[in-house]
Amino acid sequence: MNLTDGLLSHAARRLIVSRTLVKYLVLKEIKVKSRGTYFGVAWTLMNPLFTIIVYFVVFRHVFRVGIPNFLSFFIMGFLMWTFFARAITAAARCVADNENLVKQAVFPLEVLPISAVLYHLFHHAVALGLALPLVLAFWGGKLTLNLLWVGVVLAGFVCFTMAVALWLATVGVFFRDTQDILEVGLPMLFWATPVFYSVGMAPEYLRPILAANPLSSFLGAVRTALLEGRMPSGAQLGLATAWVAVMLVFGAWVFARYGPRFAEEL
Amino acid sequence: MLPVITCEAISKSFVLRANRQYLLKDRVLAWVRPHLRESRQAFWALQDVSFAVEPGEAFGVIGPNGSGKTTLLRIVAGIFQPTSGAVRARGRIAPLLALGVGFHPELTGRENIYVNAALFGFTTREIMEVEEAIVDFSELGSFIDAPTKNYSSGMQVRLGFSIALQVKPHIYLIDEVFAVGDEHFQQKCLWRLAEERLAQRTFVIATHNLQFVEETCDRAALMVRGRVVAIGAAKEVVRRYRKLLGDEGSVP
Repeated sequence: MNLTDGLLSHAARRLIVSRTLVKYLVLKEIKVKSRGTYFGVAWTLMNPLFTIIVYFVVFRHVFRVGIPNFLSFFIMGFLMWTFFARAITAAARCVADNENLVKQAVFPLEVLPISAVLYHLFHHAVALGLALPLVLAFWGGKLTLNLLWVGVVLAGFVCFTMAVALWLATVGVFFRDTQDILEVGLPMLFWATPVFYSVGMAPEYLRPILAANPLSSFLGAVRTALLEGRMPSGAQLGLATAWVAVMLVFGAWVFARYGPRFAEEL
Repeated sequence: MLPVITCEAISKSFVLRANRQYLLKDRVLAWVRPHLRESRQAFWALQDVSFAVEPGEAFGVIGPNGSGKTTLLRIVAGIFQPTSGAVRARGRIAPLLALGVGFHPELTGRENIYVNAALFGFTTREIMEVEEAIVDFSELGSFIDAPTKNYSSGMQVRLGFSIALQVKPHIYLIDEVFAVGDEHFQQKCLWRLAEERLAQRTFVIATHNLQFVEETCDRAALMVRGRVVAIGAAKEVVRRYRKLLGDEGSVP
């Protein structure tokens, strides 16, 4: 057999195997979570729904945030945030959770963080699918061609989350307190992300910090396209692209470098 | 014939750590408080292990507990990386280090077939093709659509083994998973293994069942404390092992 042929078919085979495995691991998670519960998958929608109602009332009517179309502004930011936070929390423990698989089977290990992210993507895609028509019909969303940018930016955001997930999955194997660190760090990151407020509302001295937060550019770009009907600014798109590229290279490198040691570290 | 598995001078060391620093917190603390620092000691699980396995061969690996049998299988499978030395394996490998890897108790037997077979590298179409054969061989009947948490341990193992037998790899790596189900099912498994061998599939089997090695394996390696102390015809190697056990005053 020709050597390059062998390598190519090997890579192709690995890709097909990974895809099949990801599919069944995500399905397994969905089935396991919904089985034996009365509302099934609906439960995962209840959580963001009620949180959104509570936060909306508090920030709109108590704090009187004056952002136009605040409900839509907030829903988009909040769904993107919960997806990111839940996905990377799950990724940080996915290898330890699947210890028996890692130690007893041979498969491309990246399927573990990838399925963890896709499982949460599934729920948030359902939530987004319900929210988006409402946003467009009643809550100030602009139905323009620039809506396509929402799709593009969200796809980039999923890639960014995947990259962080690959990195954290590795860190989680070598440091068991990654979970605890995330528990403290994520709320801090949450308030450093413009979910309830816009960057413009923050005082001058905080703006560089907010701009350095990768989530800001993704959230900003989605809101610009959806709520203002404009193409996201070059700065938003450029920063977001740079974050996706840098984190993907970094995450994939870390995972490829330390992945072969997972089985014996567990 | 070209060997399917070649191991050249494989060594594997594990780091035994006192004060294992699982936490980032511990690492930071250890900076300030030196007595909390991790102390490391190398433990050689395998030393200078070399052997080759021919296509269609059944190769037994025997030895006392902790002699490195499972570590060796994990290295051949690619789960562990050797510290030094080289492993080459040609063809698809199915490691049977445990049965029913990835089974979830809430899922039905049929659903678990898909997860488990995907772990062996099967695509959806390939799984669908063998699904019925797996169900038949496991003799689970209508239980196949019940959650595996309702299975007896024998039933779970039967399902796991039935899947493994349909994977059709070039190389099976088997770690002490023969104690499967009742007499009838065991006999059936042995028959299947014989058939697989006629199909030129290769077996590496780590086990304490010396009689099985004598009757089934062509060659065997005896491992003691991470080293291969004897390698050759299965009967001869088993005889050496029995003698060793006899010398130490313990009966197999």
